[in-house]
Amino acid sequence: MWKRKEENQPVVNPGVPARPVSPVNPVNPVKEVSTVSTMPQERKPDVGLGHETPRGAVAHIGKSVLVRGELSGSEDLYIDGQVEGTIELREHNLTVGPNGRVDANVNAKEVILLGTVKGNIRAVERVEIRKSGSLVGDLVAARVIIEDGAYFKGSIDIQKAAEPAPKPAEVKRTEVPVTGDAHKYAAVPVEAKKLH
Amino acid sequence: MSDSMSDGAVISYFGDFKRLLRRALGQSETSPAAAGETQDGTPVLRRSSGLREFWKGIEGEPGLQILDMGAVSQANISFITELGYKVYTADLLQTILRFIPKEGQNVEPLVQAEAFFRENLNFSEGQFDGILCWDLFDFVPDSLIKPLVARLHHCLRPKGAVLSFFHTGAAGQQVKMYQYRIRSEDTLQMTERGVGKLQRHFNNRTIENLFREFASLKFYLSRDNLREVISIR
Repeated sequence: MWKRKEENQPVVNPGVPARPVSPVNPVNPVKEVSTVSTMPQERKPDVGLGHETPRGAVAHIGKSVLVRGELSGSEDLYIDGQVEGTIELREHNLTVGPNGRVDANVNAKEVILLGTVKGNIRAVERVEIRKSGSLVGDLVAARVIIEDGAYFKGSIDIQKAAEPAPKPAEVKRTEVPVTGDAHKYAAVPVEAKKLH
Repeated sequence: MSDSMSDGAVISYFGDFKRLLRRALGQSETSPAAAGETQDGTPVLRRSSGLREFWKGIEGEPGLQILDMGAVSQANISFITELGYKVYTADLLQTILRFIPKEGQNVEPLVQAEAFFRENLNFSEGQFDGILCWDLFDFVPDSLIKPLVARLHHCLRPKGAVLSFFHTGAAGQQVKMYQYRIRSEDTLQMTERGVGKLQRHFNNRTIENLFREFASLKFYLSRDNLREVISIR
């Protein structure tokens, strides 16, 4: 019993070197106070970060923070403040919170918008614009999900990452998602009736 | 037989009475047929010959560019990108409505139409293979209608197509505004997005004049009083 409880406790191993500090300085002050983040704890899974990434590995930019310049990192980033410049996360996810205002070109693995972005977004996997989200700019991603009520002005270019050659028996399927009951109708040929 | 006829007469009488009562109470009548929608406002599917012809007209290699001028819709994005095309969205009506003053509201009028479109439809000449206008023209103010058509002509490549819908109602009539979601190559789902006033009445002649610069026009009149027009540059 007791043993099992101990296993659940976070273990700090003094032998293991500390996690390298993110090279981007403006992020660090906010990261240090992430335990008192203005983002409610319960909402984190809601924005799509909780399922893959441990909470501690998400850098936060709080809503009172303004960052100007080039922002790059090797961990997931949650922006609820203001960022102007460029954002390079490559293999990691970016979430722009409901108070977030980003005026920058973004390069990331996945991007989820609940706030406002003005700039071009390139995502290796998907871009999701939630109901409260707004994007003015061009978008290149493997998948794009836009909720009803979201604002988007720009172009969408679906570019899938290079996939291994499919097995002969495999049927190739497109990955662009459909929401709601759209799957019932999409791509199903329907014979047209004459209109009177 | 006579019973059923009298039932019909009673229903008709009550229908007229309800209409008269609505008028007496000053309630505006929205066009019931201008929309293909159920009474409770749930979205319905609608066949669209115009849409089918639109896709036929622009068929080609993947990489064609389509401009969707309706409210952004996942269904449209999915449909167009699955065809291998690149999609642009610009909800022009939402932008225009910000400049149309409502009662008791002071809004800067749209006087610089050219500048407005340069800013809000900032695309290069011949960039698009197809443009989905939906029913935008019905709600655009008079001062913008011709510059808008000229701008679309500019953005469209030769032999590119514009799909537009026109309500058959009278000018000033309140009609429901819709988001048009593409469900298949000839099926649309119409989802209500408010009520708007028809700025003018378009008949075939006025539509022909409006698209005078285009090479050809095709008209499709549907049962729900929505005229569909394909304009080919």
